Amino acid sequence: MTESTVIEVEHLSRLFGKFRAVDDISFSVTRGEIFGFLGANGAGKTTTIRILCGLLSPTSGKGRVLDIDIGKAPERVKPLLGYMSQKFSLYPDLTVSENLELYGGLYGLSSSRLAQRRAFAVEMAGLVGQEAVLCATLPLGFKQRLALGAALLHEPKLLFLDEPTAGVAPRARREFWTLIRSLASSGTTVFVTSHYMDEVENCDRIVLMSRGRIAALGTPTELKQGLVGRIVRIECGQEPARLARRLRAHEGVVDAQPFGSAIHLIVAPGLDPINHARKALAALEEQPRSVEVCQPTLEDVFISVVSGVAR
Amino acid sequence: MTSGRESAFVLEASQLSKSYGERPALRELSLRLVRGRILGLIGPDGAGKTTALRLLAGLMRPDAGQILVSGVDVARRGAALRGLIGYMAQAYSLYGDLSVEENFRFFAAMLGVASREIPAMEERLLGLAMLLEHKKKPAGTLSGGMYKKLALACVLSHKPPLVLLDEPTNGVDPISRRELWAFLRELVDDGTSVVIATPYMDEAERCDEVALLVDGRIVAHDNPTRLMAEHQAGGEKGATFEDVFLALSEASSEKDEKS
Repeated sequence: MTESTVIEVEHLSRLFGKFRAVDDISFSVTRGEIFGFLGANGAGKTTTIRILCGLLSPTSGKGRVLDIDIGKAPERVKPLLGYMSQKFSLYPDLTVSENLELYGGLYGLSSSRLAQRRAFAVEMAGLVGQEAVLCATLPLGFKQRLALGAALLHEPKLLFLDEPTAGVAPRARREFWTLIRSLASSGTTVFVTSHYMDEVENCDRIVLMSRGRIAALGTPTELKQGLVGRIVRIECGQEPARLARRLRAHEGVVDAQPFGSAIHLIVAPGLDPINHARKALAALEEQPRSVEVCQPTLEDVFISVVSGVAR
Repeated sequence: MTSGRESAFVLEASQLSKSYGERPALRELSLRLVRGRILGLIGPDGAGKTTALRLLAGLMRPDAGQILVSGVDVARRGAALRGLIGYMAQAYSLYGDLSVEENFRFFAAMLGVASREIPAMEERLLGLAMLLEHKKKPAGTLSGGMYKKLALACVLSHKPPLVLLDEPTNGVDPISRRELWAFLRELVDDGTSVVIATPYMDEAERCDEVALLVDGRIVAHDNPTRLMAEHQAGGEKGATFEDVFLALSEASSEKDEKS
């Protein structure tokens, strides 16, 4: 483990009875990295995070978080972590200040340090002058930043974010990610889990989990690279769902999804996508208005990777 | 059929306003939707999506404005309305101790489906929801995505021409999310119209038309491809729907400040 490695996991597995929730995964995260963790329900995300946070012990394999062996001394990891979830666990009936004092107390900060960190959190959340406002009345974007401030009170070296911007307005969301990026560049490592591809777009690197295993790992651009030129957009007009279903049954089609009146088709690797789409359409006696190659999204990557694993 | 006057629109809402105390939740919202289309009501939390859907479903009265569903005035409620609308709230509750099929049969009976028609509806809707093989499972043991699909099947059991869905994909993983959309598309191919509220910009592309809601007001209503194209013509290449939304919502708040 080099000095800049914050998380290092080797051949980690966790069984619940005979069920392999996490099945032999290995990866490492370096200092200051924004690392995304993505997967369907039941893919093993939560189990992995619980292990990394020292809340659950692994069945086999090794894991080090901030140089602490999580198999041996999980309780030493907890004080070094910050955690913020989509549900922003702030108390609505407490004021901005009271919420921060409560969290500071829970983290065991001294009163002088708490005063200093509270000022930092209030400023970061853009709530200077609003310290006496009840949290219940804050707009969602401010709640989110205050929750982030609360998670950072004890200056954790590793920050976990669970669907942090789901449902937040685009402007507030961008400001949030700007904050996260500046945290990361000053050395905090950020671990993000989400179902939403547009959230994980902001990460430096992403892991896709499927059935307890790592199905793919790379930067968003690297992950999309494999699908560049393989996705075809078909403008079909009438009854896209029926056509998509018929296309899915066609050989060489990984997936076909209706998008409004169009269909996005993922073609198997090694085939000419436009030609293949036209052939498939001709076989179904369909005459689309247009067939063109389109850019892959992370969701396309996810679907194609996961369906590849399933086969 | 229980329809009033003939109308080309499944849904016609004009000039709807609603305030909670001093706070305006919805301002002069007007929408029209024809048969067999999905309208996405897209906006961040607090934009007024849930208020709009509750008004459209007749669960709450607007302070001003009128709503016609298949030509029937929603303000007059009555038994006619129930047959015309399928409404799925954000926290739609199924009976956790009842199995998938028991839930379906219960809700179908509640919605007035004749008992001889229930088996065929069950076969079709649970089939589309990909839940046939889970028919005997208690609803309480389903994953988030399956639970949502079952709730959707339940609110559709009486074949309503208009379906109102409040954030049905919230907390649902990408695979189940795709299945849910595929389910909706099948309905739409059969002529059902859907209004779906979502805070996720990336779902805009899946709709036939989108209405962007900011602070209780519709700032744009068009087909998603056209909205994207117009925005991209303005410069940025590779713009996302979030960029379009951001540009339109800022433009609208500037207008507010000037007026």
